[in-house]
Amino acid sequence: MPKVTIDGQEVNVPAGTVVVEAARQVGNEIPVFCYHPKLAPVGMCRMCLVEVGTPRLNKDRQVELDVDGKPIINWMPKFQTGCTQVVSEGMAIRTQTSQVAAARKDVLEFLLTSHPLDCPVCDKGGECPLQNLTMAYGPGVSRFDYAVKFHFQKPVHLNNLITLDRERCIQCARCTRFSDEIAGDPVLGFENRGRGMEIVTLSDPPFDSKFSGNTTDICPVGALTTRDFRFRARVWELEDVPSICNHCAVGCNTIIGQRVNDIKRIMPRQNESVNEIWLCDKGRFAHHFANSRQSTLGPPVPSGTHRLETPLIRRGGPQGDRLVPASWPEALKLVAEKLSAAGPDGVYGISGDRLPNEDMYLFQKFFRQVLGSNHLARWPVVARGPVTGTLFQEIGLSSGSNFGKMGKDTSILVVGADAEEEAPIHFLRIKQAGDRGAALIVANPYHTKLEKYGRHCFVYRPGSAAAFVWGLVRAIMDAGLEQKEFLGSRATGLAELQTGMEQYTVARAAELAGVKAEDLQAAAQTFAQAANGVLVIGRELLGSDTDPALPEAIRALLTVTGHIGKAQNGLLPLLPHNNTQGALDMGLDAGPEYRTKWLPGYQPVTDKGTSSGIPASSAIYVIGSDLGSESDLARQALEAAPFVIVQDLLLTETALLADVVLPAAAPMEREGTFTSSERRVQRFKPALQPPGHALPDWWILRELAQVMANAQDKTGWRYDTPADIMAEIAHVVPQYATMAYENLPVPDLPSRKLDYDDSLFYRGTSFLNPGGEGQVWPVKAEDSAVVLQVRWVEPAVAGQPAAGQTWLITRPHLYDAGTLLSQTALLQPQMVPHTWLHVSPADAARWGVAEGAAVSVSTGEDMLSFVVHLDADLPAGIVTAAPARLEGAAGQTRWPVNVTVVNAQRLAS
Amino acid sequence: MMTSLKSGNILETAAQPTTRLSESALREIDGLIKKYATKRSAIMPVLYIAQAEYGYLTHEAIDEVARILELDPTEVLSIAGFYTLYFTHPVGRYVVQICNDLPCALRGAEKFVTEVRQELGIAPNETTPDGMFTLEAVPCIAACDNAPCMQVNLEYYEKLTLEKAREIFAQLRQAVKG
Repeated sequence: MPKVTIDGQEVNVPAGTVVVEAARQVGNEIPVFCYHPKLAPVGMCRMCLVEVGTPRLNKDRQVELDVDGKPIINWMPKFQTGCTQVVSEGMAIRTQTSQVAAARKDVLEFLLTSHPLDCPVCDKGGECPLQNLTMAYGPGVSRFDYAVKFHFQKPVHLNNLITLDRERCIQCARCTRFSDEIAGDPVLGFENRGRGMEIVTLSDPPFDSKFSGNTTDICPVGALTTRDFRFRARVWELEDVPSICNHCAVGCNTIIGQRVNDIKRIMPRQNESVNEIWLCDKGRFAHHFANSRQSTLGPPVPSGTHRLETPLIRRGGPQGDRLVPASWPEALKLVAEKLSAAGPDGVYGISGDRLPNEDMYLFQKFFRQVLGSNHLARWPVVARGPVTGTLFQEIGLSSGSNFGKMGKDTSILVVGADAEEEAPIHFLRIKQAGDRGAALIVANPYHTKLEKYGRHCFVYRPGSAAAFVWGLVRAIMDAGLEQKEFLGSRATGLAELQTGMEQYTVARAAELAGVKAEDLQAAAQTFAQAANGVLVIGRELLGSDTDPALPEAIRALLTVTGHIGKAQNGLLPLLPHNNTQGALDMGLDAGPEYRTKWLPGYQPVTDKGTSSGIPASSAIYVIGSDLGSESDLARQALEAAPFVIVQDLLLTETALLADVVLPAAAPMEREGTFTSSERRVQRFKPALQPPGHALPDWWILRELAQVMANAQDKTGWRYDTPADIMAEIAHVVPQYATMAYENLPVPDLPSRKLDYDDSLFYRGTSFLNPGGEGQVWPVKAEDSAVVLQVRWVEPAVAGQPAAGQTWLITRPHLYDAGTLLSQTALLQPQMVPHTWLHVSPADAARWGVAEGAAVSVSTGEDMLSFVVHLDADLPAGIVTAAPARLEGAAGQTRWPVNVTVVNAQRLAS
Repeated sequence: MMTSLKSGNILETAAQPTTRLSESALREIDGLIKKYATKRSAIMPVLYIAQAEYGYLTHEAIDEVARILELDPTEVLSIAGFYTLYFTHPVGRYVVQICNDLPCALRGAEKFVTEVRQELGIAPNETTPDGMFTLEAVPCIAACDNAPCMQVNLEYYEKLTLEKAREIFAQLRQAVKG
């Protein structure tokens, strides 16, 4: 650790530290624009100029001392940039001299020569580093003539989300470096030079990145702003409320900028264990469902709004049955009557997996305690097959793991997951672990973007994931790379596993999976020899893959390699929604037959009920799920059911089938907790008032329980806040024992972000997170007394399609045009419509179809119509479509299909 | 007329601008790429070849180079946009760059630029109607000692007068015709 002297103060810093970072450690602020701790330094803006000197050495290479016994410093004749100057032993740095002050003043004057000084109309005004540093260090006046400023036409749209004002740009290259280094989308660059230098993008579509919004956070001026926030508010008028993103299962920490009960913008909040300082564009922009005020679905809604504002009851009338507004007491009384009359065996509850833990807990409690029924299920069907919550709570990614700290000693194996589409921030962090030296192994039935960073990449045959994983296990055992010591004390069944696998050679696995045996062996070696190993699985394996060998193969792989039970090791499922994990934890899990399997905390249900499929003869209570728009089978059941209650935000297609519709509050309108796919429980605060008479789901359930229960029972349903419910969950669910609200602090209103570690560099649009990083509950394997049972189960490899047939598989997309997402008009160009059939160029040529052609796809049972979308990442012989269109109630993810061309050319729109 | 790095003036463009690189250009690019550890490193010579074939670096040319080198077109454009001898707009077969920076101006460069403007009948950054010459006034081509001086594509001409310039332009026109 070199010792350096900064303004007379001595400090030891790690070798390789740059001067600005060293200065920060002694509390000395060197102003910067282009430097950013997450990006490689470039020294472009010159703001960090300091005086640097090194000790003078004599002929014997010894440091020469002056009369006071202090080293004599050779000061360099010119200023050095503190962001690129790496410290060395004995280095002296002066940051407070009048020369340095003059240099900063000159640099700012220079940076402002062509700056338009339009702060009064600039969205960055008020949180702008250029504004702040000019106030702190800049000249009061400029010697340059305002009339000769270099002008550009303003603004230009880099893509449909991001706007560029070239006059404001100070050419710091933060945005281009972010796109290159962090996002892996090298689609931003500089054109020209000098004052004419400007940011350009030539990708098709322009600025093609799922992370484009982050460039507006790190832009130190108002050059890059979002179209969502453009001219919508002054930043000092916003109330900044800490929240958790409610889209995918990463659980990114966010700040909701709220004003007059309207979300003006969503920005990332720093959590180095989850999202660092990043947020994907879906998380940033897809918030408009909350303020949806225009009806786009179905018949006119009584209140004239899209967000539900009052309860609705279906009533007969001259125009036939229709949903008409009703009061809460009226609606609750009707629901209570119907549910009581239906009896425990005549009711069925379906919960979405987006609700907070507290609401899902109360929903199942309402069914199990008040109605006395176990007829419960969760929608969507994902993670309901053999690979499900019980496996995650046994061998899940251990607590204390952090992708941000994974590097050379780690191997990350990604199987059946397109991380960029399913969990963009996980993609970002896995990619960066790879950049730091972690060995990435990527295996999918089609090509994904992560392959660009993979050490070993595979495209296996659809349906052969279990065969592939077993192949890795066998290759590890053949090479004698299993962790014998670990296995001796922590696993049983190893001998039987070896006997069982005798016939299952690596060559056999390779043949079944359609990959090369030597590649499989090389990947197995990499994964087994890494000190830490993480297995990431995604929708392909979670989408109700019915192969019972899959969980056994996954457990065996992680057990034989010892990648289990310790930090930076274990299984990470990329679950589809923000609280799928919470739904599993709260006992809202049902097997493929729609029979509930678990109570909260994975305690088995003894009375499983008798339903098979969604029972059309029951009164059905749907909470937070638009299953009617996703599955024909579900729709038919809802149409046939004698009484349907739907509790949701919007008048969805499912709600249109209901007899009673109860208006619920959106996540940003109430407080609660979500559990991410890393099992991190995180709390969020309310930012908005719910519209009209909408209420939080837990509130509605509490009221309903009180209407239904007799006087004595009411004592159990006195919850005043979600904190009371979580206190009960902490008692009931062992995993949540430490999750009471006092252990999950959230900052109140984050003061504007100074005095934090990195705020010097992130300043402007950074939000500190003093509330901690949430709490991860430990998995079973972390208890060293737990012995893991490995078991050989022959993989049930799916047969090959017959001649002339092709595989149709489901494939998730980030912008999946779902019910919530479609409320954000801004993201329309990014949407992947449910009508698209992704086709490889080879297949398209074979069938003679062009982009936009109409085809129909026959699975034997069903005939579906699609529009062809060419996709170069697909291997020939595979077509893909959106899970929402296909998974439906059957829970299947693959079909051999016949594709018939209806119209080979693009249909005129 | 096919031009190449090996055989002559790399800034000279093909008589017939193209919309795709020719077979021989692609072969030459293949050979070039082999000389470097990564494809990306070949970007500058490949851009010269594309410029020679396309006439200037059109959007299509940049896309084609990006495809060949497996880069995003934006990365290719930022290289082309930085250097002054890559052109992203149409230019004549010969780009005439005359230095009019201070030392050259003291030796009469400003007057010389005006004379050449009149001779060619175009203003700086314009191209003669026959597509032969594009005139540019540039700061410093590192030949102040022999100013007025100009660079025509990659050739240097020094201690110039209008008469000498006329002679040079005539020779170049003759060379193209012949």
